Amino acid sequence: MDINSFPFTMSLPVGLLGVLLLYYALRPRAQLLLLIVASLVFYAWLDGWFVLLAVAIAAGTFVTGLFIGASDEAGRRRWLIAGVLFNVGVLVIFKYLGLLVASGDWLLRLLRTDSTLPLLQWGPRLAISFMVFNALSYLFDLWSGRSEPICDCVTFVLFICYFPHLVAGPILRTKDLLPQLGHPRVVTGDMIISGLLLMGFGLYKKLVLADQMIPHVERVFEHADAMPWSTLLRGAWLFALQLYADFSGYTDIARGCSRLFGIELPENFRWPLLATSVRDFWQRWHMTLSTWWRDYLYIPLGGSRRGGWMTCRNVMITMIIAGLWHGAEWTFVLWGALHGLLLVVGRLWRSWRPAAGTKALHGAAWAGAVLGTFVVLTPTWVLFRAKSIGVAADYLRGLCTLRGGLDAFALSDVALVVAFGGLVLLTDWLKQPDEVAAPPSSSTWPTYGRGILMGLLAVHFILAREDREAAFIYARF
Amino acid sequence: MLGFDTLRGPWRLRRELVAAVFVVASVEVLARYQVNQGHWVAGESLAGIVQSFQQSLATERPRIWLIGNSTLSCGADRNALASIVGERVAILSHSSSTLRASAAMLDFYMRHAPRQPERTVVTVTIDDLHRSGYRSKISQTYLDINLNDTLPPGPSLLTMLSARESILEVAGLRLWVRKWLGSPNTGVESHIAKRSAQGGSWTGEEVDDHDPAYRQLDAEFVMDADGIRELAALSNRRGIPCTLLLLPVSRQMQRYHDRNNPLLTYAQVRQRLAELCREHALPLVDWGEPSGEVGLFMDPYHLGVNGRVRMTKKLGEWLGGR
Repeated sequence: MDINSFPFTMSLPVGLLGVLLLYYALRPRAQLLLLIVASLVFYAWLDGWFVLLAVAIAAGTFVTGLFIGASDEAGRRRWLIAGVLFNVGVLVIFKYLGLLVASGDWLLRLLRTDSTLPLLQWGPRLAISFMVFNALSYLFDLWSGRSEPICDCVTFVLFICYFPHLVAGPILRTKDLLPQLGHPRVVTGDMIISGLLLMGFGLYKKLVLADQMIPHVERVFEHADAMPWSTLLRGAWLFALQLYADFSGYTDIARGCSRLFGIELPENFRWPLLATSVRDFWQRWHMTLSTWWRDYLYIPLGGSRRGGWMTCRNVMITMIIAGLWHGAEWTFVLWGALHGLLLVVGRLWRSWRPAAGTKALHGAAWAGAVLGTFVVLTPTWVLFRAKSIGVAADYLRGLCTLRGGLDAFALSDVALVVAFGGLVLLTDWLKQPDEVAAPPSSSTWPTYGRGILMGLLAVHFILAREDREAAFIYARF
Repeated sequence: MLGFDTLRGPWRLRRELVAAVFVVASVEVLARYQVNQGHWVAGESLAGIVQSFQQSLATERPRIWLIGNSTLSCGADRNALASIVGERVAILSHSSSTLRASAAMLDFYMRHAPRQPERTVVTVTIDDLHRSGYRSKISQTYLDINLNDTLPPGPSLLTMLSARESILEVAGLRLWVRKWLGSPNTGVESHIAKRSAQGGSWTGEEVDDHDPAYRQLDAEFVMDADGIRELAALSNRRGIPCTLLLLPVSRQMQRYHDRNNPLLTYAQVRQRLAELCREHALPLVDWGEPSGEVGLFMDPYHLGVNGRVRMTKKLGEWLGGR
């Protein structure tokens, strides 16, 4: 069951209200226990007995952390390696084994042997990457001295299993959550209203915008080999919008829900559709993941401190592994590699024209940069969405060769992208004041104007909400 | 243990929230007023439509069932058909249903009806055979009804939702808004019924190649063989004869289809349909020859009053074996 499924959404007001009322009534320590129970019930509801896996990750990492804290330098290293191997092992078994088996099969066929490897039937567990990355960030922070060992298992289990962000992030670091769990929490009326509004905006983005785009995108990707270039372009751009509306919609729901408990989750998106370069895009898109890779892989590899070529190498390694994090598919590896390549090209461009990277863009130059970035990223969305490299190749071939000729261009294709894109941006603009827990109060007309637009979105939600719920895309990562 | 120390003030009313609630309430009040005045139509819910069909199948127990979408309800008059055939005929029309969805709903009604039909006819126009068009999306609801054996939620408490079709029509953007920015299946065909009741005027202009509504319906055509296979399987499983009947469209619709699907033209779709029906031993009646008589239609693919009279007579004679 998913967070936006009918039974869940029907149970949500009752379940969430019940948990909230009890939460507000309890003392701080008991609140943490209640959140753990709610989180485990939520995960068990979504993924059955695999809740035990979440508990195992929490327990294994907690114990490892205690040993790291109590050991000398050599012991700390050993325990860190053990903890990382444990978590990465869980990730490999429950997420990447299918890819390894399929690749092994491919290799055996290449060697023309008749043997095949047994196919594993279990798919990736819900949100396993998010949980494992929480745990790894704790171990790395502990190792580097950025964090102290947590001796309170209640706090730690909640850090790993905290339910609002469990399905699709944001990825939490110790500094994000632990200080908030260590002190009594306060929930004000402003926080409740802004939390509910954030949830509303998230539901609108998911259930109206993202889910409406699914058939438009599916149709194009299913028949990519026969579609004209303008339809292919529309499909790729709509998928970019769908993915953003879906993922950021979940983040808004998670952040809004968490705020009702007095816990602030970090921002995950900052207007990524308006990025002016690929580097800028990664500073705005899935920020908790990009900073995770920056701090725990890119910088330890040497970052940009060891000269141009080493920097390019580090960027490529980081992005390829980041691609693999998204899914056990070669398309994701290529997706990461292409992003790495674009970042490297951007870096070379900036080193050739140093002024280009520092100048703030305005007006037409800014619009051109935004549009240019959106266009440049098109093949990356194709790789992200395509079911196989073959489909992606068909798709990109059709785009590059302008299949169907210039006559295939349809203004309605552009209008559709502009309509959805405009609504996505409008929603982001409307929710800006609620990104913080206590939005400023104003009696000016823009406030009422914003309210009128919110009302119109609410009417659109009522009239256009999809009957069928689709799972959050990032939940499978 | 208990304290409520977590909750604190301030509790301030947000002005933009007041404005937002005001907008939603205004639309609802307007919808209720317009419906009361008869300007807008508050359609039945899809659940209500299906239940009414179930009820009529239970009480009238017709031997002949016709099932399709709005092209069927526009193409055949139930009472006139009954008088020509000489017995009651059920016309089960589901908004925007594809062939596959019609087969699913036929299965659903057969499962629940106290008396099985002796003969069934599934009517389609060629865009109902499109595997990934707008209708296939809408039709997921019908497939779900049959698969889960449950009806969707009943009528909404909000009049604006029941009058959704009218609101979109008033906005002047009905088709493309519905297809692009919102398309829950309410099962309502009020706009079709309204146009039909008004006599349906169509001047026979060519379909605009870039009209988003038609692009959603018919462009990028992919033939859905599954619907034919599933209908044939249903007929065999139940032991009830089933015929697939291809209804005509206007020449304008055929030309639009051909322009936008040069690799699978209207004639080729008919040919492919015949092959598939032969392959699955499903009887096909092909009345799908495009018509150049503009006066028969209320739009490029829905028959108007004149077309309905002629089609009802033709259907009646065919069903009656004359």
